[in-house]
Amino acid sequence: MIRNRSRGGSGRQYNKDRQTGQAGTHSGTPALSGHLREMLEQIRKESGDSPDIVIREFKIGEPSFWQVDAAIVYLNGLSDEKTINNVVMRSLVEFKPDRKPDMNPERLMEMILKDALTSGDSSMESDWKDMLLGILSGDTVILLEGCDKALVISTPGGQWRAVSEPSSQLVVRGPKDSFVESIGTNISLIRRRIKNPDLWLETMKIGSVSHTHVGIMYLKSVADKDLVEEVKERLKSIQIDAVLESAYIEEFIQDETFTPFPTVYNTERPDVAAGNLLEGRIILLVDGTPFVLILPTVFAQFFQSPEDYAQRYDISIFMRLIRYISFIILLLGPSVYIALTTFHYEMIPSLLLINFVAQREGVPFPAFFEAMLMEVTFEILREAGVRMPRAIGQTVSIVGALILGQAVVEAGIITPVMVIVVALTGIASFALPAYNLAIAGRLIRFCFMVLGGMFGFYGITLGLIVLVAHMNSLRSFGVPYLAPLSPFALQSQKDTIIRLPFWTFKNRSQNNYNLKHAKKAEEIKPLGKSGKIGGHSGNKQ
Amino acid sequence: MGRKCISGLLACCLLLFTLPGCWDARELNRRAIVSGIGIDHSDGGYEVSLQVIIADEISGKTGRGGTPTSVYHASGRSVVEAMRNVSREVPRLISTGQTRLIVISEEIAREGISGLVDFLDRDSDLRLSTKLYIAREGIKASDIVSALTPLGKITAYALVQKTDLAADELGANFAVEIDDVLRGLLSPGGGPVINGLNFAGSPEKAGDKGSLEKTKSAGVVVIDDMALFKGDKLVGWMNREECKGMVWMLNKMRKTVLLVKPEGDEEEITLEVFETSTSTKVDVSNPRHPMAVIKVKPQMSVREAGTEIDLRDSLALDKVEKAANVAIARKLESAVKKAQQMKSDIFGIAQQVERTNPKAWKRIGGQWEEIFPAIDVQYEVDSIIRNTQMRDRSYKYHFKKK
Repeated sequence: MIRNRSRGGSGRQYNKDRQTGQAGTHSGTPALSGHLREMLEQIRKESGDSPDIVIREFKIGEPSFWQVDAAIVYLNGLSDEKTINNVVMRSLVEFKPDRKPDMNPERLMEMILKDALTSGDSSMESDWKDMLLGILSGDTVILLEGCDKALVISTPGGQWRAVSEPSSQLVVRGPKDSFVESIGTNISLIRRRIKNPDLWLETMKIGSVSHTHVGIMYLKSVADKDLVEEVKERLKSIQIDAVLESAYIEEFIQDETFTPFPTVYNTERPDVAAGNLLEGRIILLVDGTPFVLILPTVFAQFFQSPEDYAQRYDISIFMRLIRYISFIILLLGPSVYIALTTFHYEMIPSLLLINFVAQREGVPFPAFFEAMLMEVTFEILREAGVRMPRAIGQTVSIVGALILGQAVVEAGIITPVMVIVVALTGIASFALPAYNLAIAGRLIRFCFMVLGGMFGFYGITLGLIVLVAHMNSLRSFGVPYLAPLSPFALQSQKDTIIRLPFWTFKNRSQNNYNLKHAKKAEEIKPLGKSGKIGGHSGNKQ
Repeated sequence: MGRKCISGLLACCLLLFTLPGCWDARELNRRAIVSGIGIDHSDGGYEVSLQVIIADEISGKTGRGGTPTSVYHASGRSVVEAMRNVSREVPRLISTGQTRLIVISEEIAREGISGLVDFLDRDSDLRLSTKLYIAREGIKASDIVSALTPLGKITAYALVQKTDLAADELGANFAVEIDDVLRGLLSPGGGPVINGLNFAGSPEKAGDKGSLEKTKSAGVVVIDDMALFKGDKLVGWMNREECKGMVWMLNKMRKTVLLVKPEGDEEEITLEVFETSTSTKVDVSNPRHPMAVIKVKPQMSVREAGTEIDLRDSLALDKVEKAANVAIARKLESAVKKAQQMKSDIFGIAQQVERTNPKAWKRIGGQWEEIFPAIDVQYEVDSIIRNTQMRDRSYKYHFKKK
């Protein structure tokens, strides 16, 4: 009933007002005026009389001796109405202020804050914009007639996806929860794993329009102080209108834009995030996405799976080696095949060669073209399968893998070996735990195919040299991308390519190779380059 | 700034590589893969026969039921010219990167193989591990590469396998690669030894597909004894005994069989040598008459003993061992005698002399050809019987008891 009243009779009138109102906001009314009517009107004006803004007016105090007009404002859907009704409203209604001669609205508000409210997180706010932002983030605001401050009570609510199993980083053994879109839930998921006051959280808002919450989490005693400062510096210099995914942030803060390799790690698993915190890394949580950023990142991290620590170490070593091998197959599989068959036939074992030749007989395309054709087809299939609704997705894979693969061989367009090679590289790309590295590998694979098709192993070798040189030049927040292999750190080898039993890591931070090299990297390439970040960021719009 | 410069330079360098393009890229179905080469004498030059693999007939779906290999011939004044002349017959690029067998006719070998070996050494496609053979007189190298084998579809590869197996099991020859021939040619006063090839049956019918339709092939290429070279010229063939002795001398013996008759026994006992090592020591105290001591230490097992001998008895075993020592020494001696007779130091004793006494070698090196045939060689064989297989005494032993 009250809500109905607040919405007002004629929307048009407000519509007209909005234009003037907006001009008014821009000119700036940072402080609250203190007149309840005016303030409520202002809220309505600035939000375009949005129906989901609930304004409830009531009187506070005892009618017999002293009463003040008050209003409660919140955003329907974002704040928890149950809390508002049960906690906020009840405490206000039940609140009977003492008779005090010097009673004024401001004092009253203080009394409400101190004596009446049974809700935990509440504060006084005198800035208009902050108050408005509070409403928009799901807080409840209490305004009093004659008081130029607003009481902001945290009443978070609304609908979020529940914590569920991770969808992109699965494990057989290990925790099964994953981050969700709510930053609060995500923080709690990490806090639950590391119960330590040393785990610090700082938040800031990024996005001139979206005002997205971004949380920076780190273990105070382990994380490098300079690194934390640098991260904050880079985050501050981001100029963007909205942050809808952590990738937006990633693109702004990464050291190198022109590289296929990801230099910031992301995960949707709280256990991975917690593990990285313990190793001294910094975690960026972005509201609205389950993907959390981890930095600084080294190349070897993309080959580590949380399962490595859940299985016996010898099995983990084997699995990791398999992943490295798959990456090499992914990069070089088709190109080596092309190079072998078009340049280095003498390197193929004789009987295998006879097999290859027999298959090539009557196939119209050169090996390079054949490989390109199949690889592109495979990418199309994969891309189509990703977007497909789950029910149709299976059809795509059946049509693609079975029918297309078989038909193409039977029609004599493609040699069977090529199908094997392409299938192997395709599967190898899925063996990598990190999706973004697999995509990078797929991209580079095409370059190697061109090199292999043009110059054979000579070209592939040159390509590898350039690739390694490039990877060596990469930095992630000053940490060399190939650390701890280059520069080499013996202590860190315990958990890089192999994983030794836990007792060999004397303590966890010893295992943290990042910090050890952060200093060195600082010399190579100064960390303070926030100016450059601002330079290539610009406004997104 | 600096990094940009470097990456720019790098990009330019990469662009340079596009200039040559794919000049040596060649699809597999544009290649004729040669598995074996036969080289015969022709008027004023060489006749080359190339055994080309017809992959389709071996594992393809589009085979027409033809032979797995096809042989193309052409002549030229040099080997390379002849090989290029073949391209008039073959529609694809002749690729010798997978060639494993090269057969040279005895006629050419007698005239000298130095020109030919230079080609084999120089060619970038041919491997130095390609095996070399001599077709015995009367047999054309082209017949050998044209032959078909019942086991293994490609004759050249089958022959190479035969060689390796024979070397492993019989020990009367060893695989001779281009590399070994080069070394032999370079050794002072010596020369290479090369495996001979011969036919069991008719050479003409061996190339006929019909020969595969009988259990008893009409013609099979067999590994024959080895040819002895002096310099680059074939000077003679060794017999089976001499071959074994030579393999032993060169410390290339892996396994062999030995028939010995121990003292006081009537029947022969067959021994298998499964492990042996040979060391050669040269004494150059008198440079005019160098002496060589050959020490052989074979380990053997008894394989066949149709006698009443009691092999549990160490004295009896001693007798067998002694007989084996004599037999082995005789083999070695026959090989050395043959080499000395041909005046070809195939064992590389010259190098041993040079190594032990370089000063003396400087003086006598020039006359090695005269010195080598007169070298006094001593043989010290110390054989050990390690086991007697599944039995100690033969069943015949029990007859004796009765």
